[in-house]
Amino acid sequence: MSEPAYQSERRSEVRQTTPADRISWVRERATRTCAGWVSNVSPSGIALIAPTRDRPTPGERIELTFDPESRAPRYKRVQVVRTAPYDRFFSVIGCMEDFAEERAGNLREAGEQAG
Amino acid sequence: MPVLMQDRVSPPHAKARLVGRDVIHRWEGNPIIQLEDIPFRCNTVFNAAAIKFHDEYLLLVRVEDQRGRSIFALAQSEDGYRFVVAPEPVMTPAEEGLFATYEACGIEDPRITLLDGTYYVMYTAYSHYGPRLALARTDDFQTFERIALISEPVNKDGALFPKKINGHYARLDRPNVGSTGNIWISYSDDLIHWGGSEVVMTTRPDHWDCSRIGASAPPIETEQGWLEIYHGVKEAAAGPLYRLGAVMLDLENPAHVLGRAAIPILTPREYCERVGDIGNVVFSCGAILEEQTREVKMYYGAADTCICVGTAKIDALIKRCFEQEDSE
Repeated sequence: MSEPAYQSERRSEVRQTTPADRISWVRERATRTCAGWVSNVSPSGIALIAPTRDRPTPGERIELTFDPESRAPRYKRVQVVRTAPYDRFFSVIGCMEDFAEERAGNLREAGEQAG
Repeated sequence: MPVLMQDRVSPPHAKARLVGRDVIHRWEGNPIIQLEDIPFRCNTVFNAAAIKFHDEYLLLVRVEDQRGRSIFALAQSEDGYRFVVAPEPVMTPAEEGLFATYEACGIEDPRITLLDGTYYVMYTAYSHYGPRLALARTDDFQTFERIALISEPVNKDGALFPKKINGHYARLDRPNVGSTGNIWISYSDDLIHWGGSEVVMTTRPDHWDCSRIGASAPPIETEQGWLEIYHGVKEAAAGPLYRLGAVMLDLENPAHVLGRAAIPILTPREYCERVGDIGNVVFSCGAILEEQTREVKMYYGAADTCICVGTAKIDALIKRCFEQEDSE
């Protein structure tokens, strides 16, 4: 079965390795916050390194928190698209930006500004 | 114009990381272990012993449970930076016998030493009688055999040398006198009975380590002498300020100080070091020397709330021991 077009396009994107910033993330409708590190970013996604025992499965939506210890943490919703082993204890979690959520968020904000 | 969600999230690499002022270079992914990494209920995590065990890095992590007692958990890593914490604590306060009396308030600040093929853990047994030193050994870091309570209260910050000195086991420790304390050395022939105690180094007036000092990581053997990373405290108006320093001790007579850095090798600066259960604290219980790269990975508790790692070339640490002022 061939993969969706957006997936193959994403695969060809340049991934920029980043400093291993601490990140925390939480599954949709879950309360337990998990931890990880940023691995790389691309125009449409982000890859994390997280403990294998906590790793989300492809298709799951998670919310990322950048700078979780700061006074003004920043959030981003993403969808997990693939996971791969990093070492014996950790996995790389490939995530795609959740455009549906983003559109909804933008519409909400546009409505708030208009209203 | 609506604000796009992506505009509100700056890329993670946007955080500028400038060259620090400390000899120890912090890892960008700090903290390496924080509350979210502990798979069981607890209050906080800090101060970890460190050792290379087979092909893994191990940290014996001090975890404060929700009651307020400290216990030990094991964290494993392949690269020395990313650690996974085991699902259950590996060592908790004894529930019967002599140790139970003196560990009633918890077990704290472990230091691991590999000596003659055996892994020893020197730690602080805490009870309402005060803190005293205890010693245990392990083969697998899953089970620990308690050997003895090896000091009277009030004594803590015990660090066992990885070699016998002139045929005797040796340790650094910190007996308290009121709110102050200095680093002492004691010797033993059986690891149970200790004596021959003498002071190694004292607090320095008008310095960053003017209030009290104590051993941090177990001594590291170098050609120049025993490199000891120690902590120093300055009682400031806002509370105690914990920093880390370096000192070189004579190989044959570690009670003799060859050189002591005038300035700290690590000072609380980052947010996680400044803010926490006890702010403005960096406190190490373990460092690993990478023989091939000559780099020291130093693990330290930050603000009694998380664990961080920093690195430095051992030659830089040795050099710093013999510098009386900041030359950089």
